[in-house]
Amino acid sequence: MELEISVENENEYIRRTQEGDSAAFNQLVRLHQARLRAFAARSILSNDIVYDIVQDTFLSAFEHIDRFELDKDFGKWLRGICRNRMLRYFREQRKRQRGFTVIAELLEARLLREDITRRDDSLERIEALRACLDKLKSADRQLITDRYYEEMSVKDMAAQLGKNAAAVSVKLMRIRAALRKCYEKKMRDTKNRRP
Amino acid sequence: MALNGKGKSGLTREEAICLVDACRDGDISDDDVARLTSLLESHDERAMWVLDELELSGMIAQALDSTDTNSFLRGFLERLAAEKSTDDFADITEQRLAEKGDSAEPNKSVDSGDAVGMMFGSKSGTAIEMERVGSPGKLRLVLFGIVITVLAVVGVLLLTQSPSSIGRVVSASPGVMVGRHGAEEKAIAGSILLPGDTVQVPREGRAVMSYEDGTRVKVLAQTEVTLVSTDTGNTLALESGQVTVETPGMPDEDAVVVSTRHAAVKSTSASEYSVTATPTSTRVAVTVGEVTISSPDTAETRILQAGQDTVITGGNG
Repeated sequence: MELEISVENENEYIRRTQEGDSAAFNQLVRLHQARLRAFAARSILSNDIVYDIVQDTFLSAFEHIDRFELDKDFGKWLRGICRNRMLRYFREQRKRQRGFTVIAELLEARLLREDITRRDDSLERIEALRACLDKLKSADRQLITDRYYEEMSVKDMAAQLGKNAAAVSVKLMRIRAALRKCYEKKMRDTKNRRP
Repeated sequence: MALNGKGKSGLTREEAICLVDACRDGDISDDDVARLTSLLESHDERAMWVLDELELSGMIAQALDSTDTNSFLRGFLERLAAEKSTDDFADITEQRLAEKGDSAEPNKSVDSGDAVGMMFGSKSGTAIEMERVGSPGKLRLVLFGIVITVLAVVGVLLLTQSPSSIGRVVSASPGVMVGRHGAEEKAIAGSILLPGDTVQVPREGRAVMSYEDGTRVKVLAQTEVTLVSTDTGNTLALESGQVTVETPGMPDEDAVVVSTRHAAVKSTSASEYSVTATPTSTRVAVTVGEVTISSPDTAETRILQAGQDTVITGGNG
């Protein structure tokens, strides 16, 4: 269960960190880590990389906390740092991985277009998605886990299942489509329930 | 979004997604890279759909992740401490000593060190923070505190700069254990790894570790590895299970070797590859760069390049 972010508390933690109480920064990490990881996950496909990038973001924020102006939006400030880290990651990947360039460029272009000043609902989306994952049939859940958590290649999954890679890719696409339908409905329902 | 048939790019959704998966896995031909590039650069509806699919994939991965707030915070604090363990600790010591030397300033708080405070989740865990410089009766206590602080910092420096440490745990799912001298401890992000350590990953677990040279090793479920360090470099002994390795490319003598009973695998250029070992065979697949595979039984070596994989069975290196 994540803590609710209270602006008053947040400002107090920031002020204390700026005054040298480094333990106050722990609370800021607690308050923002899940939301920031959710934000990064929309552009970065591997959990390990998301984890590293978000940790880098907090390290940088801690180091430069004195530059942050109290009463400004701390979440937005963190998202700005995080976005720069992600852009750097895309640039590095483009140099290294054959074929990834075009995907990296596309994700990078979208990231640059994204308005980080708007309220970020990535965490709500992921929580809705989590509920939908729980509803999957166990065989489908296993496929999704193998691909997105274990990061198995489609080729390896196909070899394990005795199928060809295209069949596995298409099966994954259909499971994703079901997940998308489920989570979008949940997001709509949540929005409609809001006063 | 209704996207039936072939889009402007001439690809169906199914064809497009197969190319994206192959691309993500680094298992894609030049022709297919060109087809995918053409699709994505068209910026048409299908290209936007691919982008949405990628976004959903990232969110699914995150939704499956069980790292909770406390684990994340622990990892962050350990990483912060590790990053502060060299120059920063020296700076902090110098700064603290300077502050203490400036004892003419009354009522100045004597802080025992941010990084240590952060590690334990409090501003300071030592008694000297409570003391105030400027009270003659307490000067001796403060001097004692300074000595203790310096000793603690030197101790941390010695520990973190231990010449025998060969890497650290970057992340570990619950249940991952590090074995050392016959004892086992839970693997925690940021933990130092020493020669002879074993990393055991249970079913449905995963660990990522990094070597000092920047080589990053992902240890997958049901895998046990032993970190061996000799005069000739670092070897990762893999009995059974799977590891994936990302290396920035090191000179031959410094490259990390993944060793199984059937093969020794290493790369001297920027590469990504996986090694899967069973009692009867070893499979090596290269995603980026190239690796050299040598047989432990014969002098035979072979080079495997990006997009290639091979299975080596007993005595057939």
